[in-house]
Amino acid sequence: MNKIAYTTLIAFVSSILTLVGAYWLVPSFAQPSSQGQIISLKELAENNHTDSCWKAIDGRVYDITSYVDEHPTPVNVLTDWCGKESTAAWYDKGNGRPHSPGAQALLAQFDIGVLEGHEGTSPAVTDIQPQTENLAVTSSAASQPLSVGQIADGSYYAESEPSSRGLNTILEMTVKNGQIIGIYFDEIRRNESGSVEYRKSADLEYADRWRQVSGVSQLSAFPALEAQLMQSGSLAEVDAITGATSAYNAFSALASELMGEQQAVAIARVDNQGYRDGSYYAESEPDSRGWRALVEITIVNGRIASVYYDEIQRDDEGVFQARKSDDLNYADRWRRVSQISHLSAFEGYENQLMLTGSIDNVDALTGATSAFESFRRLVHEALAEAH
Amino acid sequence: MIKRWFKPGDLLLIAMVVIPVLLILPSLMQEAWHQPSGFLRGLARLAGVIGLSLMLQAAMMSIRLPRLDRLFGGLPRLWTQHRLVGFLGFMLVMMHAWGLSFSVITRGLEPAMVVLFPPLSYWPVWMGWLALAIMVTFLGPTFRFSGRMDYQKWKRLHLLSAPAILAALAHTLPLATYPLVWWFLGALAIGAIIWRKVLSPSLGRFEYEVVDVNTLVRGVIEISLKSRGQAMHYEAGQFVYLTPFDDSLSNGIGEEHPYTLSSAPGDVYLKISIKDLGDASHAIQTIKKGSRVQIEGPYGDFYERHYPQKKQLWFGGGIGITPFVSGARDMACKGQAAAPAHLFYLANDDYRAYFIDELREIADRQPAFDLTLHLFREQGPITAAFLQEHCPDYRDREIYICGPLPMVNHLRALLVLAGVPASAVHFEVFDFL
Repeated sequence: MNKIAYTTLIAFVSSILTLVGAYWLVPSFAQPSSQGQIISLKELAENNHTDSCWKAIDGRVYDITSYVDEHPTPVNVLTDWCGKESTAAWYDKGNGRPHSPGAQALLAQFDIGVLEGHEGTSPAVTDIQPQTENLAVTSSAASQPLSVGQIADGSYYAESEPSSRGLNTILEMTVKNGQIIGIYFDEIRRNESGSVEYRKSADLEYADRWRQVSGVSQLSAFPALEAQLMQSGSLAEVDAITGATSAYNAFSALASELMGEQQAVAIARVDNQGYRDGSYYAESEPDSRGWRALVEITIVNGRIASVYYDEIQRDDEGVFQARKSDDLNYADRWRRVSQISHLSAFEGYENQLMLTGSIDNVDALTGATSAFESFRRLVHEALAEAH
Repeated sequence: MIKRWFKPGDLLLIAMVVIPVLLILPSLMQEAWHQPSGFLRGLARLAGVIGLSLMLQAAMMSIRLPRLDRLFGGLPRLWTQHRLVGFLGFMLVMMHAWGLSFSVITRGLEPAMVVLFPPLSYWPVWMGWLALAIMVTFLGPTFRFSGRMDYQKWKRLHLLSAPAILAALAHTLPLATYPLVWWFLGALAIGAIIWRKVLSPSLGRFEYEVVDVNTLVRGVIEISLKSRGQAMHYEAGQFVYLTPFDDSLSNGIGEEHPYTLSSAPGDVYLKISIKDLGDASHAIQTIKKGSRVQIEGPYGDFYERHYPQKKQLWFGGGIGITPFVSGARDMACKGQAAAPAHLFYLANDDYRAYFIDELREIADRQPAFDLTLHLFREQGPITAAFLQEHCPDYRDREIYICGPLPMVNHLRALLVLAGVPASAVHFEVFDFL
């Protein structure tokens, strides 16, 4: 046995040395020194089938047609992404793990050019390590300028079909006085009966993995998309975030579904609100179903810097049990009845108060009036000390 | 027949390989069925999975729990399996790396190289290399570049298997599709090593005291041991690991070595016969009365029976007579025999036939026990005719052989030619120290 093992070792070492030797001796083919041809999203989208399968990954376009059969998964896992921006699938093979460096070396051979709008960015996928220095927001060619038109007050909701990994993207938006005052973007998974059993915004393990490969995660990427749209009022003003381009694409798709070509009024803030600095808190008695409303407000430099409103449950000893903002199934039920849910309604009240500086200027949102009553009462109570 | 080749514990060992393989089988079939490159890569993954299972299994086999070894056909069989499984794992791990690399070589040298030598940041692959490098280090001496290694040095070097396993797990856990199975098997493997090397010296040993040292001939002693606390229970023919603590010994103080018991379970003292075969067994010839020893065991299943209805035929040669002395003394003690036995004592000459007087005495008193002495110097190698003459029904007996390798080989060939089924022949080669 030891002779066979020894022979295997020698054979192994010899063939690896042969490989290494050959690698050093054979000149490697030159990497494209230029960026290659510029490929538009339209061109990319045309090559969306097994006979010609192009994919955009990190701003480069790859023609992987000849590799489709060799890929170690069922073919459709690969071909589902043909003609698409596939960065997310590259960095998450479906099990939360990125492709290996070996796969990367293979991919490099299929590089055919740069995706329009990504000229001047790094030439190709070079390393799967975090690219933290690239956290800056870059402009994307994918966004089309929208023509002006005012979006009507009300609450809006859109949800995508499940992706290949079973995740639906959702967007809920509430508009008041032409301003977007509440917006909620997330990726969720529903079980067979339609109940939400997962939301990405609460998955901090996923955030770790995403951050490891892209330097960013949903923790700040989702709010960054929301804040950009809320503050500018226009989808054309929302820029993609490096490392989160697929989230940007999903967000844009849902937002344009909801807004069409309309815009909202950019938000203006009242700067001098005349409050005393400090933090203020108020909590209501439980209602008939045990929910208590709470509000916490922090004043900095005389201005409302932040507002937190939620409805929670406590046990007999007063220990916190649950909060409504975590419950996306509750949101579904609420939205079914009222076209709105706490996902954007709570934020709508918080933002109105923060921006206008006075509870008297906060308007009730259709379908969320009982939350409005609680909110108004608690803010009055909390801010009584702050005048 | 089945029982001879297959022990109950083997099922467990097989399951430990089959379960991880079954887990990846669907994805393996998927990729292997498309392209030659996929086939090679599939094989490479399979080799990796089986290779790691075997490595972990080899580690688990080192646990050496008394009595449990019988499930696996006794410790000597486990040693053989450990060796086989370890070498197979080593070879499969190399095929794993080789196959993964060469499965993409049709796409160029660059991908093939990057698979094996990715950027350092992709550390799981480098942990795999580390594991392989450590394995080469501790398996190196088995390739016998520089003669046979000192047993104790070899054992210490073999401890490197622990870091090798940790590195192999660090390689696998981040990359595996089903890491849970590796966490489980890995924990068993590491647990086995911890028991063997850390816990068993204090928890698994019996305290004994040397009460008598009897020199049988030059270079062979029988020591009698008295329990200082709880006594060990054992059966005839089993062996133990003995650790002497006599400070006057020139070698082997505090080192454990395996020796066969020559006493019967009913005897007052535990007796061990030791032949001067190596440094430690040479030194122990001068062990002092009253000194402390530790005993770990018992191990082995020497008198395992495949044919309970058959009479037995025993062949003992050299120090290999020890388990038969234990068996004969057991018969004498109990006054009855599990099965009638005929012992052929194959000695060089009268002088080297130690224990012969005692064995003759037992044969006189115990009708179920017969004894024939065969002297090599006078009669040459034992022949079928000699057997026929002294034990006419030798072909119909269950046979136990213990002695030096040439003797064992000679007898096995002779018995096969005489038409004895291989399943009726048990043998143990006493060449370990």
